[in-house]
Amino acid sequence: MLSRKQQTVIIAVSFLAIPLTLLAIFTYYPIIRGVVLSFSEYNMFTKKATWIGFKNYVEIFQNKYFYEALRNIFKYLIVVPFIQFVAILTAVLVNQDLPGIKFFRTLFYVPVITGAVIVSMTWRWIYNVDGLLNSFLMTVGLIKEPILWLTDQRFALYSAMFVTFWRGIGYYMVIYLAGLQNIPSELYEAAKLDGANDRQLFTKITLPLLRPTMLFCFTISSLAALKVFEEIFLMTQGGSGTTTMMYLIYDYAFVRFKFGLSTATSVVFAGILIIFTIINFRFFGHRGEKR
Amino acid sequence: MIKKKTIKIILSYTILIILAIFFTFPFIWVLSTSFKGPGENLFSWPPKFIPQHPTLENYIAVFKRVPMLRYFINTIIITTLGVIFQVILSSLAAYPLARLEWKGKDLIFKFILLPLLIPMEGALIVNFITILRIGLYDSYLAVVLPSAVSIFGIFLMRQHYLSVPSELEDAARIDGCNEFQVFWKITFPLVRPATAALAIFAFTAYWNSLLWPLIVLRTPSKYPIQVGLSQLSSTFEPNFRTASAAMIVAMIPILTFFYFTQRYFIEGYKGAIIE
Repeated sequence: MLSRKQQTVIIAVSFLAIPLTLLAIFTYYPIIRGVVLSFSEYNMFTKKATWIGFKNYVEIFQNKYFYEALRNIFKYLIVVPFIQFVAILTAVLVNQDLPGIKFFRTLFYVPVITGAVIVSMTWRWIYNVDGLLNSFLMTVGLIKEPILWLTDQRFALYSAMFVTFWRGIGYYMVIYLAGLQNIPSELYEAAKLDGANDRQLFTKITLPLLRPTMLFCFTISSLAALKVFEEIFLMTQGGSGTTTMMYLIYDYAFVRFKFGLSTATSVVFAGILIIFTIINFRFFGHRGEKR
Repeated sequence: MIKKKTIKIILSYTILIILAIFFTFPFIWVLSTSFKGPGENLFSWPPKFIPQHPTLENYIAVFKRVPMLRYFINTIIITTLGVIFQVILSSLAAYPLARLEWKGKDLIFKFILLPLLIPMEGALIVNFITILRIGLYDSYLAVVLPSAVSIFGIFLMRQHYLSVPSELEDAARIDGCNEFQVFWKITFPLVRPATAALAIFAFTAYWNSLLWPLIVLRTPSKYPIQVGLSQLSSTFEPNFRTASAAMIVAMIPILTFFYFTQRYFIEGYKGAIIE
């Protein structure tokens, strides 16, 4: 006869068996295997990996596109404060109890829900040589010659960044909205009784209580910016100086079929992301202590 | 006092409308383009949103030239499989982590959360090789299996299980239910809002997923709608009208879905943020 404790363990294991097996195969194993593969050359036909030491890593750092990608992903971080600022404003705006507010919430979320493919196709046409943007700017008289938004080195990355900004706002708006609705309304009522005005309510109650949500959103938004892929893949294919780390990893693996080189790049990239996250937390943690 | 309030409302609506235009004008433009005939200038400024000669030709062309229906069926198969896997496996895994007392519980939970801290970019390639090895390449299962267990899902379900009062479960145990029956008949139904939120997040993620299905599917007749569209865009590029119609057709289901489920989005995030 099994003891009560042993029975519970058996039950727990039977609940966890399938999920943990799948996690082991598709989540834990790739972490280890990815690192091993980064020191190897993988042959697609024989399905064999040959150990080649640090050769892949040396090759990465000799490639000029690696540095371009590195520059671009950090440039891409510029979108984060813009997205967050507009998202917070929008969330506060749609958190009001006004007729038709649900309709507006839905509209603002449309770019998020439609998915990257349709959004990118649409913006590619807007950015076209004879697209809406050029035709608008020329009618208004701001420019004389059409601008090649997605193929001119000077503009391509920023054009992609704008699309990220445009389709990111709604996503964070919903998270901020949830954060705003988690703030107990009693706090506002009490403050109003004490004679606080709207601005005081916002700066003394809303902003401080929204801080954890903001921290969360800034973190995931910066990580998303560093990992940007879809906009680049769908609009410029990494051309005109718009390569990013994720695009490089994709390109090595599934265009050139150099799996070793690709995993080595992703190991380096993972390192960059970990360092970034640690610095990020130090910075925010420090600011938190001061308060 | 009243005047100040009126100004505030007018100001709010003004900003709301400006934002609404900002977020939707590209789609409105696509919608109007999809009804335009061949002779009309698409890119004129100011844009003409009402077609001069409205036509359904573009929509007919889409269904003639693109296997839209096939893409939709594929998307529905992949999305359904993915949602079922994620909901059931996350619910199962979270149960002993929240409702049972056993040694090693906290350790296992931490172990499950660990990958959230490690950037998983390399997994793409290793999982691709794994899929090739186990012979699932070019199958629907290949699309959903690597993401069948959602760590976020386990986390979300566990948080909600924790709030279920244990008296109900104990009563069921006294009535002779085994642990699985307790889970299935008592605990699982009690956290329905969380399950709904998880299902909806999974639904949108699978519906809009692009890169992974693109990598593991080879046969175009197995493509989901996103992959199908992205592949067609190059062939279609010169023909904005037909492509617009294809995009509108592709947008309708997900927009309808969102319209009816939007409250769960906010509720889902509310539940996740508290922690």
